[in-house]
Amino acid sequence: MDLPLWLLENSSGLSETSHKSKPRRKRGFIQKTLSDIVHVLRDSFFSEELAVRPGFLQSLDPRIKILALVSLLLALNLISHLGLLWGSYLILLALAAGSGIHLGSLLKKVWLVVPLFSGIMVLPSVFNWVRPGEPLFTLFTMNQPWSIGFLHLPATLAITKQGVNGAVLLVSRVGISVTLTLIMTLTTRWTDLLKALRFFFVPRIFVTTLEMTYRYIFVLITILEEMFLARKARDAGRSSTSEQRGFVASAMVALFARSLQMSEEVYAAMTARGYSGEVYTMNRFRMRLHDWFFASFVILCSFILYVADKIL
Amino acid sequence: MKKNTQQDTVTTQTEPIFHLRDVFYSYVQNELVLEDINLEIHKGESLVILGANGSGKSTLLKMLCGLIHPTSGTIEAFGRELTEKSLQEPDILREFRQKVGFIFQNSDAQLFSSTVWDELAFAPLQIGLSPATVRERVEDTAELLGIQPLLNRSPHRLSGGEKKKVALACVLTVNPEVLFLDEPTNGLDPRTQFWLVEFLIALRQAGKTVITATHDLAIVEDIAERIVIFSEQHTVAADGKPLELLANRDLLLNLNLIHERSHFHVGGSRHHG
Repeated sequence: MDLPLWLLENSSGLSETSHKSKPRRKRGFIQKTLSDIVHVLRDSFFSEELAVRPGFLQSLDPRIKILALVSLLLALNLISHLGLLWGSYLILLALAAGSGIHLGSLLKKVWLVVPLFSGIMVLPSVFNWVRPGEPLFTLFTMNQPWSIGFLHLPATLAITKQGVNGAVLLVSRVGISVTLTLIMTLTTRWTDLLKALRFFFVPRIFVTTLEMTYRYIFVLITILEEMFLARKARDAGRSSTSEQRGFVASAMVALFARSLQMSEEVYAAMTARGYSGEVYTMNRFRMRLHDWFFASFVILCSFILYVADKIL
Repeated sequence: MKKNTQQDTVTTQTEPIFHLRDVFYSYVQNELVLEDINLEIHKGESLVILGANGSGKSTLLKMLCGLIHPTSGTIEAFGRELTEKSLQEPDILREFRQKVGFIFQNSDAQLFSSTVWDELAFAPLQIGLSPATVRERVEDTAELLGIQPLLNRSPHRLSGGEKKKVALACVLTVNPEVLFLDEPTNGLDPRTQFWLVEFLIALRQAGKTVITATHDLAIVEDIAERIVIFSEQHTVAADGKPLELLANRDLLLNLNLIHERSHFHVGGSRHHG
């Protein structure tokens, strides 16, 4: 085989056009975002680091955990006494700590995000223009009320007591519900969680599809990661933003084609093992004494919370 | 695992379990992937289908497993014509799926369940075995292949060799009569390759029909008692005993199975083994 002459020589360090020092190049926004998504998915969604660690919540039957989650979510969203809500939250945190969850990271995950989204949503309701009530703090007063078409606004804009109470209650409920859901999902393997859904009248084919989605997201993420690495291995830092956008677009096309091909292969593999439209599965969960005890305890607590809220 | 001294006895006297007559197949019109295939496969035979990339080996395996059907020609399997229509009969389908097992080249496509346990239980559950039998089969097969520690793990957490073992186990749980393996040694380290060869020999000794599609000549001598070689024109170019065909260097060269500077020689794999 005759190689061309240029292939016989070793490349000299820098090319003729790159003598001048250039500023350090930052990773492109799209590429950085996509590779960060890949890492987050791989590290948190698939690592199941907490779920396989020994702990109280980890030892419970996943069906009981779903039952407990639904029961507590209902109770916590029906009560409006802030003391009861935050008291329950403290018990939840103790349970999380007892199951090996790092409280600092849990609190950060919840309280850095929840106020941002639910807080923005409820912000208008703290003002008397949206929800009239007893003023706590007056922002400004105009000479006369405003009337624009059908909209009539009072002359004073104030933050109301009722508005603040409502907003605090809503943000608390959302934050506590998110914490509860996070605690349950962090201490349960995704595969068990999905299987447990079958016992709550979720159709079998739906659960199987979800399980396969979970399984193949990982395969496709690995392919995506390899594509990024392959590009990085040939990228000398000279590609323009539009070239990078082009790469992302072509990566999407390639990934779509690979997922189509993969779906055909998976279907063939399922057919080869007897699949003919209906999936038959087996229940491998076993209820133990402490599962029954925990289920009864949580349902009782939910009921007590509801009654206590009515009395207080 | 001892090698069977009677392994060269091809059971040609018995009725073939697969009989292909004038089979043609194309994925795209006018682009044939298989051309005029006439073949008989007998019970207990250990057949290796050799061929260069794109010669149609994998397509033939899929066809024998009833996953695709000929564009023209007929396939008889276990004394019954194998057609799309015949496999729509639930009883025939169940019986056929219990008799054949397919180990795909891409283990990631084959292992679609969320845990290894579910993977092993999938096929027996689909053919209607009782939960107690399924449990027993899963545990026995896992023990046989030494994969008990993997049972509760997700397939995506396994290494290439572990995935191949699980792929083999998930087919064995239905105790198939015929096993199809598509490029089984691709991407495996030497130790796992050797383990796989030994396991295939043991299956052959147990009376299973093992049909392997490969272009890896290193394993052929050990696992084959008959070889069918496909040409790059998608036809059967040779059909015979391994020693005869593998010793024919010109044939292997013409069919793009070795290069003129390759050092392949009959008996080489045994020395390496």
